[in-house]
Amino acid sequence: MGRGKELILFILLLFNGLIYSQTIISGFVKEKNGNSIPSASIILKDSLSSSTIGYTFLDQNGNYKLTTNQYGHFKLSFSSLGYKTKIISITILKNQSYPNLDIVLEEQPIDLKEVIIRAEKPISILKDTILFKTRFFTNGTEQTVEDLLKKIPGLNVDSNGTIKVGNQEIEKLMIDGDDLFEKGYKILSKNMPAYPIEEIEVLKRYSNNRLLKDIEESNKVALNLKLKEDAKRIWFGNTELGIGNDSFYQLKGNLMNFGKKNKYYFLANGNSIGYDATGDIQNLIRPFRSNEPASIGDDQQVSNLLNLSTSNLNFKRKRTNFNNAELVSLNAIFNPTEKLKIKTLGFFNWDETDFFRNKVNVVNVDNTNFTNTEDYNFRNKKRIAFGKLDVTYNISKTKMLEATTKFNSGNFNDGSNLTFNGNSTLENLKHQNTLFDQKINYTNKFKDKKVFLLTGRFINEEAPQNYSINQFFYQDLFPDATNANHVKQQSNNQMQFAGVSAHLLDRKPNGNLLELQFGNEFRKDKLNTEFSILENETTLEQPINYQNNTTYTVNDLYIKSKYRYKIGGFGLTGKLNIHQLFNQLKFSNSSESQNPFFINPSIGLDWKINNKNKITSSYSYNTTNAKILDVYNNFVLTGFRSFSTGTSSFNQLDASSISFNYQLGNWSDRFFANTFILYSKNHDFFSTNTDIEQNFTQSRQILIKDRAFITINSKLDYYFKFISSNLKLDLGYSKSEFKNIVNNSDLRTITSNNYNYGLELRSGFKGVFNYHIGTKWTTNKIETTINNTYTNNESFLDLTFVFNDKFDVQLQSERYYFGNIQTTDNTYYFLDIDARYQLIKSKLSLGLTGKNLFNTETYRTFSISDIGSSSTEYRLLPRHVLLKIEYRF
Amino acid sequence: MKIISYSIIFFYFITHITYAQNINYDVEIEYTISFNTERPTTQKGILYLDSSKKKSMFIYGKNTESSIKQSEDENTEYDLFYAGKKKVFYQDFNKDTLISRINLFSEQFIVEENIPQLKWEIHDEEKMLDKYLLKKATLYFRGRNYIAWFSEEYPLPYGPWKFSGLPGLIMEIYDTTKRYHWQVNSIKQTEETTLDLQPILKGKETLTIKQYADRKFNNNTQFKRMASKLPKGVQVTQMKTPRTGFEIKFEWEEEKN
Repeated sequence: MGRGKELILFILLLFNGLIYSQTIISGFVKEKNGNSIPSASIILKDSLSSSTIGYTFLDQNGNYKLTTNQYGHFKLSFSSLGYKTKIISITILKNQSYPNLDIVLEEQPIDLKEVIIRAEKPISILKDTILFKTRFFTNGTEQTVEDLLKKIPGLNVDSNGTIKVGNQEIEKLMIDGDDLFEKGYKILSKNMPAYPIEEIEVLKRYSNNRLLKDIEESNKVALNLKLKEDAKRIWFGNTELGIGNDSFYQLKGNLMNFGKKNKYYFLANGNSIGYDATGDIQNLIRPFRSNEPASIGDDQQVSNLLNLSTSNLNFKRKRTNFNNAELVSLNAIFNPTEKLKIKTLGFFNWDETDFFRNKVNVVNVDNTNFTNTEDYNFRNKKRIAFGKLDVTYNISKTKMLEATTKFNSGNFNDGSNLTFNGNSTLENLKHQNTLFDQKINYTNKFKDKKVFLLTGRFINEEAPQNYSINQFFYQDLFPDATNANHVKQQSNNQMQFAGVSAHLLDRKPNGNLLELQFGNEFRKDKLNTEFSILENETTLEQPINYQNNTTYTVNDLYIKSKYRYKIGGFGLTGKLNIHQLFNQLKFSNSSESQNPFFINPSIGLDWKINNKNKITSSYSYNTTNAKILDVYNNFVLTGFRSFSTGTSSFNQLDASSISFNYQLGNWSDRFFANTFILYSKNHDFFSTNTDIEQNFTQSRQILIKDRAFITINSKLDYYFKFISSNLKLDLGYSKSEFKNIVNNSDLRTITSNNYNYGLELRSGFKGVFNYHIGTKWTTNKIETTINNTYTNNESFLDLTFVFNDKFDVQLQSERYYFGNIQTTDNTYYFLDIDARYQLIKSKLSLGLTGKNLFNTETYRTFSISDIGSSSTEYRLLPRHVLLKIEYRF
Repeated sequence: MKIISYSIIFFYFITHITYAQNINYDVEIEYTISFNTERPTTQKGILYLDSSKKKSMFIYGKNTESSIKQSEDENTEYDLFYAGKKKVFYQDFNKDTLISRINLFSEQFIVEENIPQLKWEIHDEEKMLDKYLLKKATLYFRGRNYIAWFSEEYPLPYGPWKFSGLPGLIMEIYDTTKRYHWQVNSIKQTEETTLDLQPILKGKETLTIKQYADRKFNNNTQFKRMASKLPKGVQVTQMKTPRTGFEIKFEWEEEKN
């Protein structure tokens, strides 16, 4: 009982203590003259003035009251705008209050006209640039640049790494304004660590040439990552190793080192699974710059007469490409001074490919009927060395000098083992390609919206070819060569190009763009071929009509003008290109020249009726000058049983075309439809006059008048919400006309009609599973003296399972059906699988790739032409399964 | 007669308390607000202070000028407030009222509430912003956690939007998801300017904070209209859309949980 009382007393005392331990400090704050101060902050801090213990404000009457439950030595500060802050020391003792702590503040006129606080902002939006400071958006879990970009608002990174700003894919991903990857930026975004990046710049309406910004038309978007000032040199990259059955392998490695001044990128790739390694750096070798100023000479190159590699397949090349490729590439950017940027690129590529093809060719023209069988086994070996040097010198804010030097050396050794109608034949083609290309461009933005570009370019390309066949199939052509047993052809095709152009871009105050270009382009082609008929090593004959010594020079002096006029939703683009040509054609014993003059006008109209309806249409009339492969005068061997010759004269080809495009809705809308119509008429065109024999064909180029081509294509997208899937319809029709002569016939008209219709359904589920299914029919109809029709079908079903961040599986199946193959092998099935498992996020992952799981060994296609039909069987890469491991460091 | 005059006085009195708000400001503080939302934007906001009467007004929205331009034509002075549907937050600390002019489904409303009691926690952490030493304070307010940086050099217990009550001016404040971010641009003392708030706050429907929350988050009409248009056989399971905006959870909702 007594104890209980004691306890209660104790509790009461304790509470008392607690209650009394609240110390109240109070008083008033006033001016020297006794006037009250309207507002002030009173802050209680520890004796070092570092921690804030409590705070309060003056009430309406100028009194303050601050409560605390701590004791000891403190500082009490009184501050008010316009007064000197007063700090007093105070010792708070237990059970004591400080009721009349009155304070007088001394006036201090404030210098507060305007204070600007300069500080970083998480997002700054300038006209076409949005700047993100990464530290405002990160939480430290970001491993790679890709992880970082996912955190930035407005940027989307999809599952395969494509980076989009809104709905638009970015053009490039730069580091401090330096670009090493162009469209192949995923290598960077998936591997580069995120920590050295300080800022991300989204550049809208981006121009590759900085001085053309806001002057040329552009809707491109690019990203620029800015490194921290103190970012040390960092090495990073990844390696991927894949090993499979039957010694299939794949090896990939990327190694990068980025510093503020210099950047390096090394890449190595080796594989035997049909993968074209140069595809990874294709963007770097030839950056895609269509329609950009200073692109003079981009389309100038040597075309080879002879090509032993495969014709284009309507099929994945990877499946038939028996290869063993190795590639190493070294790229670097140096910024020795602020104004100078040097960019180098080099690669070496070795490849050995095999290709197997069996072909049955049925020819059926008038009175010529025969069947040829060819069993082909190609082997191509190539070695390519390529180097590119870009130097950019920024003379001033408005002037820039750029120089690009390219060097390419290719060495090819192609051989084939051919059984032609039962005869064993060996073909050998050794060829080289040497290219030197130098471009210099000077840009001067001489006024705010006016830019002048001066571009010069020199290209020298040489492509010698040595071809031999260990059989002589041309007895009928050369009856004198009775003992002949093989043939040889040595050729050299050389091109020199030199061009200068002056280009003015003038963005008018009303927003319309005027472009004027004045230039001169000179191109000289030399084509030498030497065809010999041999008996063992003895040359029997070099038939005169089978040797070429052609020099073709074209000098094109031109003025090009372009003006775009815009009013409301209407845009009108007018182009006028005026060319004065000086052509010269030299054969071994004759020479002639011609100076044609022509004008190429074109007009384009685009009309944005409203946000949902857009029409674009254009009309153009175009004259093109004949190329070297159109004008040479004697026969050239272009395959083991084909000879061709040009027209041996100057020609200009005239064509006109009209196009029309209607777009309903926008791509991101639920419903989107686009229809495109193109009609073109060739007033003159090159065709052939061909003599067809079973063992050889001889064709001469001839100039023929009038042919037409029309194509109509409609694409329709509709998103079905209830199944979260998008339906895509694709309908197309094209009709083309062609005229030729075969075996001295009259001019034959070949009309080909092509219909295609396809549909696809693709899901957009949020869960684990997604599908994409589609099918497409193509009907071909060829009408000459005989009519031929067939329908093929291609279907696919892709299934994707993304179980979680760590594990995903993709299945791809394909079905091909050939309507005109009567046998049972007219249907082919393929199944590929790809699985990936991340062991350590963004560090280590395992993969399993299986290709051609049904182990389809051959693949046969059927095609029809104006002279008959052919059925071709290709050998396919057998089933292979690769176990892959990828490590990022 | 007497009754009439009394009632006139009475009515005058009532209208006076409701509408005759004015602010006599002499300090103007400009903030940049970064909306790190699905479509990131930045906007300017201006805080006007009448520190002697303990009143503040924060205005933001598109095209907010750096100051309210005084004009000979008295009416144009307020054009700025109407253009671009600016949001206005007026706080009178002596009367304990916070009046907001906000937009809800593209309609303008006035919301009246007591000044929220912000339970700031002051930390020892400090940082420099330009040449100012800032102290860190944290706050949970209506569904979001905020980090504020204030300056004791400016002993003004004010801040942007509804933030107030720190022993110094809030120079920077952001929520921990980094969706919203306010940062001071400039601080300027101006001539004393009286601004009558009646035209800014008149003629709009006035809501309590509860009514406002209800309208904003429990408005299902749009959803129902969509559901009624769906094809036959399709069922909709009601989905809760996440709340967005500065305020996503209110005091009375906290109590429930």
